[in-house]
Amino acid sequence: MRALLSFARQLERLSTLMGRIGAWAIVLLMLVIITDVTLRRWFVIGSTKLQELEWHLHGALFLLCLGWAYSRNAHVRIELVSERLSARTRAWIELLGCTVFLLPYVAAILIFGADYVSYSLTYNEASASPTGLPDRWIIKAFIPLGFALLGITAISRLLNAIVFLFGTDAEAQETSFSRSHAATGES
Amino acid sequence: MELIIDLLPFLMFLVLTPLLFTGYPVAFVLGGVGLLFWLLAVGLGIENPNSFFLVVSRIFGGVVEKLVLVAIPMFIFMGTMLERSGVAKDLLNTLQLMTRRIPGGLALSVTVLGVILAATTGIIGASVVMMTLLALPVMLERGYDKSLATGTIAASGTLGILLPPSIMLVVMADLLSTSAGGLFLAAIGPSLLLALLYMGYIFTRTVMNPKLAPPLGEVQVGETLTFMRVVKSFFPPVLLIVAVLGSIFGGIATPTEASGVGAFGALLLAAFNGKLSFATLRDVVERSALTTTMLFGLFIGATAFSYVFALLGGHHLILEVMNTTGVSAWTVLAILMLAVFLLGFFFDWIEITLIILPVFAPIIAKLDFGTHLADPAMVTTWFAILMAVNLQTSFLTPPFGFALFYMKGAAPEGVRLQDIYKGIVPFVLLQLLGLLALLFWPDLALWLPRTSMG
Amino acid sequence: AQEKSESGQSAPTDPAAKVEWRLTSTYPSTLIQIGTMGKRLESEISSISGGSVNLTFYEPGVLAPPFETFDAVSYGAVEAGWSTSGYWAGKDPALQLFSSVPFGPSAPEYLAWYDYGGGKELFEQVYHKHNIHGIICGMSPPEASGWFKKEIKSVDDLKGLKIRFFGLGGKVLEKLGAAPQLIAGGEIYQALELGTIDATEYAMPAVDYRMGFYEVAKHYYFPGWHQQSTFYELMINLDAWNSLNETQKVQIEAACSANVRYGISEGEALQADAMIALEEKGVQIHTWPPEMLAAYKGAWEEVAAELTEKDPEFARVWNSLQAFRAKYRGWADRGYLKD
Ligand code: NA
Ligand code: NA
Repeated sequence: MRALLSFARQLERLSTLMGRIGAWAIVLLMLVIITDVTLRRWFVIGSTKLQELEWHLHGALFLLCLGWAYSRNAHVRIELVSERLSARTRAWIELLGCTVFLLPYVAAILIFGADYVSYSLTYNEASASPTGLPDRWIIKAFIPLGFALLGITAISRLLNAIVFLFGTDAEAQETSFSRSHAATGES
Repeated sequence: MELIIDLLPFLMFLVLTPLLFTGYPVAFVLGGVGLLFWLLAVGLGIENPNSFFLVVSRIFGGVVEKLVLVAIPMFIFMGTMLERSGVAKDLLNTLQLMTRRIPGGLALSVTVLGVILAATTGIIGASVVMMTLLALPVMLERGYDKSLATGTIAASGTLGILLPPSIMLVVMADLLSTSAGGLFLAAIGPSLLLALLYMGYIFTRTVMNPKLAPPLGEVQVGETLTFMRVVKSFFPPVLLIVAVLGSIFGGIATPTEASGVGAFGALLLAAFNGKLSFATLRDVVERSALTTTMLFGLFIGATAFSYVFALLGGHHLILEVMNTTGVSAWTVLAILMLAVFLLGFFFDWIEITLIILPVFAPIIAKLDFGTHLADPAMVTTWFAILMAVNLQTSFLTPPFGFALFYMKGAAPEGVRLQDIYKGIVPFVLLQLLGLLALLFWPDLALWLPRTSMG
Repeated sequence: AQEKSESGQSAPTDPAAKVEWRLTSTYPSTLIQIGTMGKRLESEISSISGGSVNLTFYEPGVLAPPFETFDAVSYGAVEAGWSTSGYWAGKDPALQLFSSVPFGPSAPEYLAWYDYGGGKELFEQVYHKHNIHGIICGMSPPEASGWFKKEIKSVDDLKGLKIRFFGLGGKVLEKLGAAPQLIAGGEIYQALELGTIDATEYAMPAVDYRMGFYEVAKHYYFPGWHQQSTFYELMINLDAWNSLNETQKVQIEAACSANVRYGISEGEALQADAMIALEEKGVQIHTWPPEMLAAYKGAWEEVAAELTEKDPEFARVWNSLQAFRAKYRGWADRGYLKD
């Protein structure tokens, strides 16, 4: 059980690291927009490339953060009913949610996403605009990457739930469930 | 068996609704239920095993590649930075001091702020999140009733999709083959009407029950209203609003880009106020990224769900129910308005628009309301605005009121979804009141485009 | 008997397997010509085939987002798509040449090259690489050159001009010093109104009129050198196409041929009405002076040379088209009156 828990923490650490790096895309995005607006106003250059870079950065931003947001419990939940449930029941819900909904969804996106990206790579896909950016596969690859990070977090949550439900009291205390499902419930 | 296959799309909702109340993240339940129904359809041999591929396509082409959505993280960053640097709090506190003799003064100010923000962005996610970040903590701190506070913010925040610029009006113009400019002009009157209705309601409620919006008690130390204080707390945010609106109306930036100008402006303001350290910046960056991801998590969960719904024939099923052959113009309109309102409980605006408009656009253009419209040629514009107000309402109606989800994701701890659900009920009724007014007095919308475009 | 039924797919007496396909579109069904041509395939193909081939039209975004049509059909997520190959430059640059070409041919010449000059074979070869069978299935008349807030009197006026212009034409304008912008479809009107951009290209006059651009820009330029005629296409997943019997294939091709004719006749008629309506709205309609057209053409030749250099497939199609056009000129210059 301890081994599971420490493995779960390693996984969470990875998705957190990637998320925290990805978050900085928001600053880059802001700078690109400012550059684009300024250049267009005073120096006037064709800025299709900058404008495409904007949505590239934006996509990278939220895709890289998908998993991290899950471990930080930032994804919206409807707690109308669940806040009255016991911590054990909620851990069961998390366990089933991961196995029945999230992990299959992640798996499907990874399977089809791999085909999606490899097509783009094989044909060296570029922007549809001749004045745009090349190498479309890079931003497309962020979709499976982001979902992989989400899957990694889901596995980490799943392991935490298993330890919380089936481990000793002491082990259960160390899971993320004892932290986040404390008296006040999740935020 | 045939019947079950036909009803699969409805079954999706039947399964989804209870599952949402398990408290598992909405985004993942949406994606998961979508996938499970798709697998079921493949298992039944009615769906091809390649079609889930399009969910990836939809995430890329419908979410990642959409340039206008870039405004969302920028406005969230702007809101978070303004909140963190205390600029928003200063402004709202001063506003409350200034309006302390008016019942519900702060809530009224928030509505006005909502209208101003609505003029800078055309995307609900951006405006609701920003309003929530800026105003909700202050309102709660001041002892406002949670439901009144959340309802005010959610409703004023959704004005962003009605008041131009509005991505929704643009999409509708495209589908109705009419000019977006005409719709923009026509939406101004109704937006202001709704804002006035909200304000009238807030005022009346708080006069009747002052506990909902506690007036400032004994003037506390440091809470005196001086001219300098007003200037100091108003100057920075006004400057920012001028920068954002100015860059749009000065033709320097598109509304999407103006969001970046706003974010950068908020950063400069924080630096100027001496509130910007690396730790603060990192905190704002991380919190904005998490809020943005919450929102886009919903988008990519919902895209899987609504795709499978369409794949299983959901759209055709809905259209089959809506039979308008051989009825009068008023009945057609009533059926459409009722359908949009009811669909709004479960679908987002883009889905509803895509189900209804392509099929009904030619019918709408030919509807004859006699002398009810001063210019019968404007029937399409009138209908579009009625539909737009109706769709704006859909953001507020549970269970799938996306504005409610956005708000929940950005609200401080302790604000529960049921507070928000409770809060929006009166505002939904006000929306319906506004809709009725527009039905009876088309000129509330049409006067402006009719007179200014000849 | 077993063997006969398998190999005898083309026998007209064979009961054709009923085909129910999804048709995902890049354009909304309500968009004049560009969308309506695709929508009418639903009823046309079904009637022509006596109900043996049925396509259900899906609005852009309902199944696939508009610019994901290519991937959707290629992968077989849906069987068919309605689009124009100009959008697929990023997938295969050669495909742009089957949609419209700057300073390219007008409808009869384009069709002649396609049917008798080797265009069709090249088109199918390029698309088959991507597991798509493309059929030219619609055509529209020349587009307008665009809406300008200020009059353009010389090439110098193009310098620094912020213009929303998609595709090869945008590349040409960039060569002449303009700054092509990528403005989200829905933001064009307002961007033009507020001066965020100085000009925009959009579509044919009939479409432009409905979009209301005349409310925000008064100068409307012709001819649309970047798009003298446009092919629209029915994209069919190659495996799905191969699963049809010969009768069904011919039925789809017949419906598409009829659709091309419909596109031209309706298109020509609609533009005439739109021009009158636009003039009534006080739009100043300009014709590019010869020196401007020469400048555009010179820049286009540079762009074409670069693309030919860079992409062998593009070069193959380009050379075929150019060879045909050179030969055709000998006829066109003599056969037709020049006013
Ligand atoms: Na707005
Ligand atoms: Na709703």
